[in-house]
Amino acid sequence: MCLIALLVFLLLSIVSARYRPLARRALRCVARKATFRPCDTGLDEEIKAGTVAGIMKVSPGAAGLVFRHFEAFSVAVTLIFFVSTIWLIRAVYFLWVYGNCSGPGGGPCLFFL
Amino acid sequence: MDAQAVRAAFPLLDKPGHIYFDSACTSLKPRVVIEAERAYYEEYSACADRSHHPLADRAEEKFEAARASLGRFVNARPDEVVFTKNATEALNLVVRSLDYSSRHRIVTTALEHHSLLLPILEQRRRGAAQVDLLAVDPDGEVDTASIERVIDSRTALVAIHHTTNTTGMRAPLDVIVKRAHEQGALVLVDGAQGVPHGPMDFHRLGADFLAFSGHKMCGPTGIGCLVARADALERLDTFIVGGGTVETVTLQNVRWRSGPKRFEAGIQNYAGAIGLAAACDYLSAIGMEQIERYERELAGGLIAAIQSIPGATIYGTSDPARRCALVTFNLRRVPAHQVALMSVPLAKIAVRSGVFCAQPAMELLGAPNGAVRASLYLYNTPVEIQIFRETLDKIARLA
Repeated sequence: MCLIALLVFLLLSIVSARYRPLARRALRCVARKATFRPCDTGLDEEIKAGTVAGIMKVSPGAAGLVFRHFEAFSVAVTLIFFVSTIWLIRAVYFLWVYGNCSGPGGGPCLFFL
Repeated sequence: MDAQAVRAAFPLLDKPGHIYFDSACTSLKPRVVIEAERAYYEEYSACADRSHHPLADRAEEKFEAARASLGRFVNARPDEVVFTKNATEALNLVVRSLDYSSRHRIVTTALEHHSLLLPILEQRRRGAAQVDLLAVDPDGEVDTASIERVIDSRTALVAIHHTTNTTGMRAPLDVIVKRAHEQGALVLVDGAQGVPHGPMDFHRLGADFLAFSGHKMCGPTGIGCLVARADALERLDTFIVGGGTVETVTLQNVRWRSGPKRFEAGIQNYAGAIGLAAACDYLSAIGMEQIERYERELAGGLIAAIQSIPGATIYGTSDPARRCALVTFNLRRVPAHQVALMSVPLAKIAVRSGVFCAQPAMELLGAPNGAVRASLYLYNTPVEIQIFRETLDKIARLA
Protein backbone atom coordinates (compact mmCIF):
# COMPACT_ATOMS: atom_id res chain seq x y z
CA MET A 1 0.00 0.00 0.00
CA CYS A 2 2.79 2.43 0.82
CA LEU A 3 4.38 1.74 -2.57
CA ILE A 4 1.11 2.65 -4.25
CA ALA A 5 0.87 5.75 -2.05
CA LEU A 6 4.39 6.69 -3.09
CA LEU A 7 3.51 6.37 -6.80
CA VAL A 8 0.32 8.39 -6.35
CA PHE A 9 2.01 11.16 -4.38
CA LEU A 10 4.99 11.26 -6.73
CA LEU A 11 2.64 11.83 -9.65
CA LEU A 12 0.64 14.41 -7.73
CA SER A 13 3.88 16.11 -6.62
CA ILE A 14 4.56 16.93 -10.27
CA VAL A 15 1.54 19.20 -10.38
CA SER A 16 1.39 20.42 -6.78
CA ALA A 17 4.05 21.02 -4.11
CA ARG A 18 1.41 20.29 -1.48
CA TYR A 19 1.88 16.56 -2.03
CA ARG A 20 5.66 16.52 -1.78
CA PRO A 21 5.85 16.10 2.02
CA LEU A 22 3.39 13.22 1.67
CA ALA A 23 5.56 11.68 -1.05
CA ARG A 24 8.59 11.96 1.22
CA ARG A 25 6.76 10.23 4.04
CA ALA A 26 5.51 7.52 1.71
CA LEU A 27 9.10 7.03 0.55
CA ARG A 28 10.21 6.66 4.17
CA CYS A 29 7.46 4.11 4.68
CA VAL A 30 8.59 2.15 1.60
CA ALA A 31 12.18 2.25 2.85
CA ARG A 32 11.15 0.86 6.22
CA LYS A 33 9.02 -1.87 4.67
CA ALA A 34 11.86 -2.77 2.31
CA THR A 35 14.11 -3.30 5.31
CA PHE A 36 11.49 -5.42 7.10
CA ARG A 37 10.59 -2.78 9.66
CA PRO A 38 7.03 -1.65 10.34
CA CYS A 39 5.97 1.64 8.82
CA ASP A 40 5.87 4.24 11.57
CA THR A 41 4.80 7.36 9.69
CA GLY A 42 1.07 7.19 10.53
CA LEU A 43 0.53 8.31 6.96
CA ASP A 44 -2.51 6.09 6.40
CA GLU A 45 -4.18 7.44 9.56
CA GLU A 46 -3.51 11.01 8.53
CA ILE A 47 -4.80 10.54 5.00
CA LYS A 48 -7.95 8.90 6.32
CA ALA A 49 -8.57 11.65 8.88
CA GLY A 50 -7.86 14.42 6.38
CA THR A 51 -10.08 12.88 3.70
CA VAL A 52 -12.98 12.16 6.04
CA ALA A 53 -12.78 15.61 7.65
CA GLY A 54 -12.77 17.22 4.21
CA ILE A 55 -15.86 15.29 3.13
CA MET A 56 -17.56 15.96 6.47
CA LYS A 57 -17.55 19.70 5.79
CA VAL A 58 -19.64 19.05 2.67
CA SER A 59 -21.66 15.99 3.62
CA PRO A 60 -21.51 14.39 7.08
CA GLY A 61 -23.49 11.39 5.79
CA ALA A 62 -21.01 10.70 2.99
CA ALA A 63 -18.13 11.21 5.44
CA GLY A 64 -19.54 8.46 7.64
CA LEU A 65 -19.79 6.14 4.65
CA VAL A 66 -16.20 6.84 3.62
CA PHE A 67 -14.99 6.48 7.23
CA ARG A 68 -16.60 3.06 7.61
CA HIS A 69 -15.42 1.78 4.21
CA PHE A 70 -12.19 3.68 3.84
CA GLU A 71 -10.15 0.76 2.51
CA ALA A 72 -12.60 0.10 -0.32
CA PHE A 73 -12.93 3.82 -0.99
CA SER A 74 -9.16 4.30 -1.19
CA VAL A 75 -8.74 1.29 -3.51
CA ALA A 76 -11.47 2.66 -5.79
CA VAL A 77 -9.97 6.16 -5.85
CA THR A 78 -6.50 4.74 -6.52
CA LEU A 79 -7.79 2.61 -9.40
CA ILE A 80 -9.61 5.60 -10.89
CA PHE A 81 -6.46 7.66 -10.48
CA PHE A 82 -4.28 5.14 -12.31
CA VAL A 83 -6.83 4.49 -15.08
CA SER A 84 -7.30 8.20 -15.71
CA THR A 85 -3.52 8.73 -15.67
CA ILE A 86 -3.07 5.98 -18.28
CA TRP A 87 -5.84 7.51 -20.41
CA LEU A 88 -4.26 10.90 -20.13
CA ILE A 89 -0.86 9.58 -21.24
CA ARG A 90 -2.53 7.74 -24.12
CA ALA A 91 -4.42 10.86 -25.21
CA VAL A 92 -1.28 13.01 -25.10
CA TYR A 93 0.55 10.39 -27.19
CA PHE A 94 -2.24 10.32 -29.79
CA LEU A 95 -2.33 14.09 -29.86
CA TRP A 96 1.40 14.16 -30.51
CA VAL A 97 1.40 11.45 -33.21
CA TYR A 98 -2.02 11.76 -34.88
CA GLY A 99 -3.17 15.22 -33.93
CA ASN A 100 -6.21 13.85 -32.10
CA CYS A 101 -6.91 12.16 -28.79
CA SER A 102 -8.38 8.87 -30.06
CA GLY A 103 -5.65 7.44 -32.29
CA PRO A 104 -5.72 6.64 -36.03
CA GLY A 105 -8.99 7.73 -37.64
CA GLY A 106 -10.21 9.23 -34.44
CA GLY A 107 -12.08 12.48 -34.07
CA PRO A 108 -10.81 15.69 -32.60
CA CYS A 109 -10.05 16.04 -28.92
CA LEU A 110 -12.84 17.24 -26.71
CA PHE A 111 -11.00 20.41 -25.83
CA PHE A 112 -10.57 21.22 -29.56
CA LEU A 113 -14.30 21.03 -30.27
CA MET B 1 -10.24 35.38 36.33
CA ASP B 2 -10.41 37.37 33.10
CA ALA B 3 -9.70 34.69 30.50
CA GLN B 4 -9.67 37.19 27.63
CA ALA B 5 -6.98 39.27 29.35
CA VAL B 6 -5.00 36.10 29.95
CA ARG B 7 -5.34 35.09 26.30
CA ALA B 8 -4.01 38.45 25.16
CA ALA B 9 -0.70 37.63 26.87
CA PHE B 10 -0.07 34.59 24.64
CA PRO B 11 1.22 35.31 21.12
CA LEU B 12 0.09 31.95 19.77
CA LEU B 13 -3.50 32.81 20.67
CA ASP B 14 -3.36 35.90 18.46
CA LYS B 15 -4.30 33.61 15.57
CA PRO B 16 -8.07 33.45 15.55
CA GLY B 17 -9.82 30.12 15.81
CA HIS B 18 -7.00 27.97 17.11
CA ILE B 19 -7.92 25.87 20.14
CA TYR B 20 -5.04 24.48 22.17
CA PHE B 21 -6.08 21.57 24.37
CA ASP B 22 -2.66 19.96 24.74
CA SER B 23 -1.25 21.79 27.72
CA ALA B 24 -0.43 18.59 29.61
CA CYS B 25 2.14 17.96 26.90
CA THR B 26 3.44 21.51 26.92
CA SER B 27 1.77 24.81 27.67
CA LEU B 28 1.76 27.93 25.55
CA LYS B 29 4.19 30.68 26.56
CA PRO B 30 3.23 34.24 27.44
CA ARG B 31 5.10 37.23 26.04
CA VAL B 32 6.78 37.98 29.40
CA VAL B 33 8.53 34.61 29.30
CA ILE B 34 9.66 35.01 25.71
CA GLU B 35 10.81 38.53 26.53
CA ALA B 36 12.80 37.34 29.59
CA GLU B 37 14.64 34.76 27.50
CA ARG B 38 15.25 37.29 24.75
CA ALA B 39 16.66 39.76 27.28
CA TYR B 40 19.23 37.23 28.49
CA TYR B 41 20.51 36.57 24.98
CA GLU B 42 20.46 40.19 23.88
CA GLU B 43 21.54 41.99 27.02
CA TYR B 44 23.67 39.80 29.29
CA SER B 45 24.45 36.50 27.60
CA ALA B 46 27.33 35.33 29.77
CA CYS B 47 28.36 32.58 32.21
CA ALA B 48 27.05 32.72 35.73
CA ASP B 49 29.08 31.51 38.72
CA ARG B 50 32.39 31.51 36.86
CA SER B 51 33.57 34.67 35.16
CA HIS B 52 33.78 38.05 36.87
CA HIS B 53 32.90 40.85 34.50
CA PRO B 54 29.76 42.99 34.39
CA LEU B 55 27.90 40.72 31.97
CA ALA B 56 28.70 37.62 34.00
CA ASP B 57 27.79 39.37 37.22
CA ARG B 58 24.41 40.30 35.79
CA ALA B 59 23.86 36.76 34.49
CA GLU B 60 24.75 35.39 37.93
CA GLU B 61 22.44 37.85 39.66
CA LYS B 62 19.53 36.99 37.34
CA PHE B 63 20.16 33.24 37.55
CA GLU B 64 20.17 33.24 41.33
CA ALA B 65 17.14 35.53 41.37
CA ALA B 66 15.42 32.94 39.19
CA ARG B 67 16.27 30.26 41.73
CA ALA B 68 14.75 32.42 44.48
CA SER B 69 11.61 33.02 42.36
CA LEU B 70 11.15 29.31 41.82
CA GLY B 71 11.63 28.71 45.51
CA ARG B 72 8.99 31.31 46.38
CA PHE B 73 6.61 29.76 43.87
CA VAL B 74 6.60 26.45 45.74
CA ASN B 75 7.50 27.85 49.17
CA ALA B 76 11.03 26.48 49.27
CA ARG B 77 14.34 28.14 50.09
CA PRO B 78 16.68 28.98 47.18
CA ASP B 79 19.22 26.45 48.47
CA GLU B 80 16.57 23.76 48.06
CA VAL B 81 16.19 24.42 44.33
CA VAL B 82 18.25 22.44 41.82
CA PHE B 83 17.92 23.40 38.17
CA THR B 84 17.58 20.48 35.80
CA LYS B 85 16.81 20.01 32.12
CA ASN B 86 13.24 18.98 32.88
CA ALA B 87 11.19 16.92 35.33
CA THR B 88 12.51 13.72 33.74
CA GLU B 89 16.07 14.63 34.63
CA ALA B 90 15.05 15.65 38.14
CA LEU B 91 13.30 12.31 38.68
CA ASN B 92 16.26 10.39 37.26
CA LEU B 93 18.58 12.36 39.51
CA VAL B 94 16.84 11.17 42.65
CA VAL B 95 16.05 7.59 41.63
CA ARG B 96 19.53 6.92 40.25
CA SER B 97 21.54 8.74 42.90
CA LEU B 98 19.98 7.31 46.01
CA ASP B 99 21.78 4.59 47.91
CA TYR B 100 19.72 1.39 48.12
CA SER B 101 22.28 -0.72 49.98
CA SER B 102 20.60 -0.66 53.41
CA ARG B 103 17.00 -0.25 52.25
CA HIS B 104 16.43 -1.76 48.86
CA ARG B 105 12.78 -1.16 48.03
CA ILE B 106 11.20 1.53 45.86
CA VAL B 107 7.45 1.95 46.14
CA THR B 108 5.53 3.48 43.25
CA THR B 109 2.31 2.94 41.24
CA ALA B 110 1.48 1.67 37.79
CA LEU B 111 0.04 5.10 37.02
CA GLU B 112 3.39 6.82 36.72
CA HIS B 113 4.71 8.56 33.66
CA HIS B 114 7.58 6.74 31.95
CA SER B 115 9.87 9.53 33.20
CA LEU B 116 9.49 8.18 36.70
CA LEU B 117 8.68 4.56 36.00
CA LEU B 118 11.65 3.87 33.71
CA PRO B 119 14.43 5.01 36.06
CA ILE B 120 12.79 2.90 38.76
CA LEU B 121 12.59 -0.14 36.48
CA GLU B 122 16.20 0.47 35.53
CA GLN B 123 17.21 0.27 39.18
CA ARG B 124 15.41 -3.06 39.37
CA ARG B 125 17.09 -4.32 36.18
CA ARG B 126 20.50 -3.48 37.65
CA GLY B 127 19.63 -5.36 40.80
CA ALA B 128 19.97 -2.20 42.88
CA ALA B 129 16.40 -2.12 44.13
CA GLN B 130 13.20 -4.07 44.36
CA VAL B 131 10.04 -2.40 43.07
CA ASP B 132 6.71 -2.62 44.89
CA LEU B 133 3.47 -1.15 43.63
CA LEU B 134 0.68 0.52 45.54
CA ALA B 135 -2.69 -0.87 44.49
CA VAL B 136 -4.74 1.23 42.08
CA ASP B 137 -8.40 0.68 41.26
CA PRO B 138 -9.61 0.62 37.63
CA ASP B 139 -10.70 4.25 37.95
CA GLY B 140 -7.12 5.29 38.62
CA GLU B 141 -7.57 5.91 42.33
CA VAL B 142 -4.69 4.85 44.60
CA ASP B 143 -6.00 2.35 47.15
CA THR B 144 -5.20 3.93 50.51
CA ALA B 145 -5.47 0.56 52.24
CA SER B 146 -2.43 -0.67 50.33
CA ILE B 147 -0.26 2.23 51.53
CA GLU B 148 0.27 0.80 54.99
CA ARG B 149 0.73 -2.69 53.61
CA VAL B 150 3.31 -1.84 50.95
CA ILE B 151 5.40 0.93 52.53
CA ASP B 152 7.49 -0.53 55.33
CA SER B 153 10.86 -0.26 57.03
CA ARG B 154 12.61 -1.77 54.00
CA THR B 155 11.39 1.04 51.75
CA ALA B 156 14.09 3.46 50.67
CA LEU B 157 12.00 5.65 48.42
CA VAL B 158 8.34 6.24 47.66
CA ALA B 159 8.16 7.79 44.19
CA ILE B 160 4.75 8.93 43.10
CA HIS B 161 2.83 11.46 41.03
CA HIS B 162 1.15 14.53 42.44
CA THR B 163 -1.35 14.52 39.56
CA THR B 164 -1.37 11.89 36.83
CA ASN B 165 -0.99 12.85 33.21
CA THR B 166 -3.58 10.22 32.22
CA THR B 167 -6.59 11.01 34.37
CA GLY B 168 -5.66 14.32 35.98
CA MET B 169 -6.36 12.77 39.39
CA ARG B 170 -4.26 13.37 42.48
CA ALA B 171 -2.53 10.82 44.68
CA PRO B 172 -3.39 10.84 48.41
CA LEU B 173 -0.02 12.39 49.23
CA ASP B 174 -0.83 13.33 52.81
CA VAL B 175 -1.38 9.68 53.73
CA ILE B 176 1.56 8.47 51.65
CA VAL B 177 4.06 11.02 52.99
CA LYS B 178 3.00 10.35 56.58
CA ARG B 179 3.37 6.60 56.22
CA ALA B 180 6.68 6.85 54.35
CA HIS B 181 8.23 9.12 56.97
CA GLU B 182 6.97 6.94 59.80
CA GLN B 183 8.88 4.13 58.15
CA GLY B 184 12.00 6.24 57.49
CA ALA B 185 11.58 6.30 53.70
CA LEU B 186 12.14 9.30 51.46
CA VAL B 187 9.34 10.62 49.25
CA LEU B 188 9.81 11.82 45.69
CA VAL B 189 6.82 13.59 44.15
CA ASP B 190 6.47 13.98 40.39
CA GLY B 191 4.85 17.39 40.25
CA ALA B 192 4.99 17.86 36.48
CA GLN B 193 1.19 17.89 36.17
CA GLY B 194 0.48 19.29 39.62
CA VAL B 195 2.69 22.34 40.13
CA PRO B 196 1.37 24.22 37.05
CA HIS B 197 -2.27 23.94 38.05
CA GLY B 198 -2.61 24.93 41.68
CA PRO B 199 -0.87 26.29 44.75
CA MET B 200 2.10 24.24 45.85
CA ASP B 201 3.73 24.47 49.25
CA PHE B 202 6.75 22.20 49.33
CA HIS B 203 7.09 22.26 53.09
CA ARG B 204 3.41 21.68 53.74
CA LEU B 205 3.47 18.83 51.21
CA GLY B 206 6.10 17.26 53.43
CA ALA B 207 7.85 15.36 50.64
CA ASP B 208 11.62 15.18 50.45
CA PHE B 209 11.83 15.81 46.72
CA LEU B 210 9.54 17.53 44.26
CA ALA B 211 10.26 17.48 40.53
CA PHE B 212 8.61 19.60 37.87
CA SER B 213 9.14 21.00 34.38
CA GLY B 214 9.09 24.60 33.25
CA HIS B 215 7.46 24.09 29.89
CA LYS B 216 4.18 22.78 31.33
CA MET B 217 3.72 25.94 33.39
CA CYS B 218 4.15 28.65 30.75
CA GLY B 219 7.94 28.47 30.99
CA PRO B 220 10.50 27.59 28.34
CA THR B 221 11.38 24.08 27.27
CA GLY B 222 14.68 22.59 28.45
CA ILE B 223 14.41 23.78 32.03
CA GLY B 224 13.04 21.98 35.04
CA CYS B 225 13.55 21.79 38.71
CA LEU B 226 14.17 19.49 41.62
CA VAL B 227 13.15 20.94 44.94
CA ALA B 228 14.74 19.00 47.77
CA ARG B 229 15.09 19.25 51.50
CA ALA B 230 18.72 20.04 52.28
CA ASP B 231 19.25 16.85 54.33
CA ALA B 232 17.65 14.70 51.63
CA LEU B 233 19.79 16.33 48.95
CA GLU B 234 22.91 15.47 50.93
CA ARG B 235 21.89 11.80 50.85
CA LEU B 236 22.10 11.71 47.07
CA ASP B 237 25.26 10.60 45.35
CA THR B 238 26.63 12.67 42.49
CA PHE B 239 24.71 12.43 39.23
CA ILE B 240 26.11 14.30 36.25
CA VAL B 241 29.41 15.86 37.24
CA GLY B 242 31.61 18.49 35.68
CA GLY B 243 32.42 22.17 35.83
CA GLY B 244 30.64 23.97 38.63
CA THR B 245 29.99 20.92 40.81
CA VAL B 246 33.31 20.92 42.68
CA GLU B 247 35.25 22.98 45.21
CA THR B 248 38.67 21.54 44.34
CA VAL B 249 39.99 18.77 42.14
CA THR B 250 43.31 16.99 42.29
CA LEU B 251 44.12 13.74 40.55
CA GLN B 252 43.88 12.07 43.94
CA ASN B 253 40.88 13.76 45.44
CA VAL B 254 37.69 15.65 44.55
CA ARG B 255 35.90 17.95 46.97
CA TRP B 256 32.31 18.42 45.90
CA ARG B 257 30.29 21.54 46.43
CA SER B 258 27.34 21.34 48.77
CA GLY B 259 23.70 22.06 48.02
CA PRO B 260 22.15 22.44 44.59
CA LYS B 261 25.40 23.33 42.82
CA ARG B 262 26.68 19.79 43.31
CA PHE B 263 24.05 18.71 40.78
CA GLU B 264 24.32 21.56 38.28
CA ALA B 265 27.16 20.44 36.06
CA GLY B 266 28.41 22.59 33.23
CA ILE B 267 26.99 25.79 31.83
CA GLN B 268 23.36 25.97 32.80
CA ASN B 269 20.30 26.91 30.79
CA TYR B 270 20.39 30.47 32.13
CA ALA B 271 17.87 31.81 29.65
CA GLY B 272 15.53 28.95 30.48
CA ALA B 273 15.85 29.46 34.23
CA ILE B 274 15.23 33.19 33.88
CA GLY B 275 12.29 32.50 31.57
CA LEU B 276 10.89 30.00 34.05
CA ALA B 277 11.16 32.55 36.84
CA ALA B 278 9.21 34.97 34.63
CA ALA B 279 6.57 32.26 34.19
CA CYS B 280 6.38 31.76 37.97
CA ASP B 281 5.98 35.50 38.49
CA TYR B 282 3.33 35.63 35.76
CA LEU B 283 1.30 32.78 37.29
CA SER B 284 1.74 34.16 40.81
CA ALA B 285 0.46 37.56 39.69
CA ILE B 286 -2.75 35.92 38.46
CA GLY B 287 -2.89 33.75 41.57
CA MET B 288 -2.55 29.98 41.69
CA GLU B 289 -5.73 29.63 43.76
CA GLN B 290 -7.63 31.53 41.07
CA ILE B 291 -6.09 29.41 38.33
CA GLU B 292 -7.03 26.23 40.18
CA ARG B 293 -10.61 27.44 40.69
CA TYR B 294 -10.95 28.46 37.05
CA GLU B 295 -9.53 25.16 35.82
CA ARG B 296 -11.96 23.28 38.03
CA GLU B 297 -14.81 25.10 36.31
CA LEU B 298 -13.30 24.20 32.95
CA ALA B 299 -12.92 20.57 34.07
CA GLY B 300 -16.61 20.43 34.96
CA GLY B 301 -17.57 21.83 31.56
CA LEU B 302 -15.19 19.53 29.72
CA ILE B 303 -16.39 16.40 31.51
CA ALA B 304 -20.03 17.34 30.88
CA ALA B 305 -19.28 18.04 27.22
CA ILE B 306 -17.62 14.66 26.67
CA GLN B 307 -20.27 12.82 28.68
CA SER B 308 -22.92 14.28 26.36
CA ILE B 309 -21.39 12.43 23.39
CA PRO B 310 -23.09 9.06 22.93
CA GLY B 311 -20.64 6.21 23.41
CA ALA B 312 -17.88 8.30 24.99
CA THR B 313 -15.86 6.67 27.78
CA ILE B 314 -14.00 8.88 30.25
CA TYR B 315 -11.09 7.34 32.15
CA GLY B 316 -10.87 8.17 35.82
CA THR B 317 -13.43 9.86 37.99
CA SER B 318 -16.08 12.16 36.53
CA ASP B 319 -15.97 14.36 39.61
CA PRO B 320 -14.30 17.64 38.54
CA ALA B 321 -13.40 18.40 42.16
CA ARG B 322 -11.04 15.43 42.14
CA ARG B 323 -9.16 16.12 38.93
CA CYS B 324 -7.56 18.96 37.02
CA ALA B 325 -8.80 20.17 33.64
CA LEU B 326 -7.45 17.11 31.89
CA VAL B 327 -9.78 14.48 30.49
CA THR B 328 -8.77 11.27 28.77
CA PHE B 329 -11.47 9.52 26.80
CA ASN B 330 -12.37 7.35 23.85
CA LEU B 331 -15.27 7.42 21.43
CA ARG B 332 -16.99 4.20 20.44
CA ARG B 333 -15.68 2.79 17.15
CA VAL B 334 -13.57 5.83 16.26
CA PRO B 335 -9.89 5.23 17.08
CA ALA B 336 -8.25 7.83 19.31
CA HIS B 337 -5.73 8.88 16.66
CA GLN B 338 -8.55 9.52 14.20
CA VAL B 339 -10.34 11.74 16.72
CA ALA B 340 -7.20 13.77 17.32
CA LEU B 341 -6.26 13.99 13.66
CA MET B 342 -9.76 15.01 12.54
CA SER B 343 -10.08 17.66 15.25
CA VAL B 344 -7.46 19.74 13.44
CA PRO B 345 -9.07 20.15 10.00
CA LEU B 346 -12.57 20.28 11.45
CA ALA B 347 -12.07 22.97 14.09
CA LYS B 348 -8.32 23.68 14.48
CA ILE B 349 -8.33 21.87 17.83
CA ALA B 350 -5.03 20.49 19.11
CA VAL B 351 -5.49 17.44 21.35
CA ARG B 352 -3.20 14.50 21.96
CA SER B 353 -3.84 10.83 21.35
CA GLY B 354 -1.90 7.73 22.35
CA VAL B 355 -0.74 6.33 25.65
CA PHE B 356 0.84 9.60 26.86
CA CYS B 357 4.20 8.06 27.88
CA ALA B 358 2.32 6.06 30.50
CA GLN B 359 1.67 2.71 28.86
CA PRO B 360 1.15 0.63 32.02
CA ALA B 361 -1.23 3.31 33.31
CA MET B 362 -3.31 3.23 30.15
CA GLU B 363 -3.44 -0.56 30.26
CA LEU B 364 -4.59 -0.41 33.86
CA LEU B 365 -7.27 2.12 32.96
CA GLY B 366 -8.57 -0.17 30.23
CA ALA B 367 -7.24 1.71 27.21
CA PRO B 368 -4.16 -0.26 26.12
CA ASN B 369 -4.45 1.05 22.57
CA GLY B 370 -4.57 4.62 23.74
CA ALA B 371 -7.09 7.38 24.12
CA VAL B 372 -7.67 11.03 23.38
CA ARG B 373 -6.50 13.56 25.93
CA ALA B 374 -7.84 17.08 26.19
CA SER B 375 -5.80 19.09 28.68
CA LEU B 376 -6.73 22.67 29.39
CA TYR B 377 -5.02 25.57 31.08
CA LEU B 378 -5.71 29.09 32.24
CA TYR B 379 -6.01 30.44 28.67
CA ASN B 380 -8.82 28.10 27.60
CA THR B 381 -12.46 29.11 27.70
CA PRO B 382 -15.93 27.53 27.97
CA VAL B 383 -16.60 28.64 24.37
CA GLU B 384 -13.70 26.46 23.21
CA ILE B 385 -15.14 23.54 25.15
CA GLN B 386 -18.45 24.05 23.34
CA ILE B 387 -16.69 23.97 19.94
CA PHE B 388 -14.84 20.85 21.03
CA ARG B 389 -18.13 19.20 22.03
CA GLU B 390 -19.69 19.99 18.64
CA THR B 391 -16.63 18.63 16.85
CA LEU B 392 -16.63 15.43 18.91
CA ASP B 393 -20.32 15.03 18.22
CA LYS B 394 -19.67 15.15 14.46
CA ILE B 395 -16.79 12.69 14.73
CA ALA B 396 -18.78 10.30 16.93
CA ARG B 397 -21.53 10.17 14.30
CA LEU B 398 -19.09 8.81 11.72
CA ALA B 399 -19.23 5.37 13.24
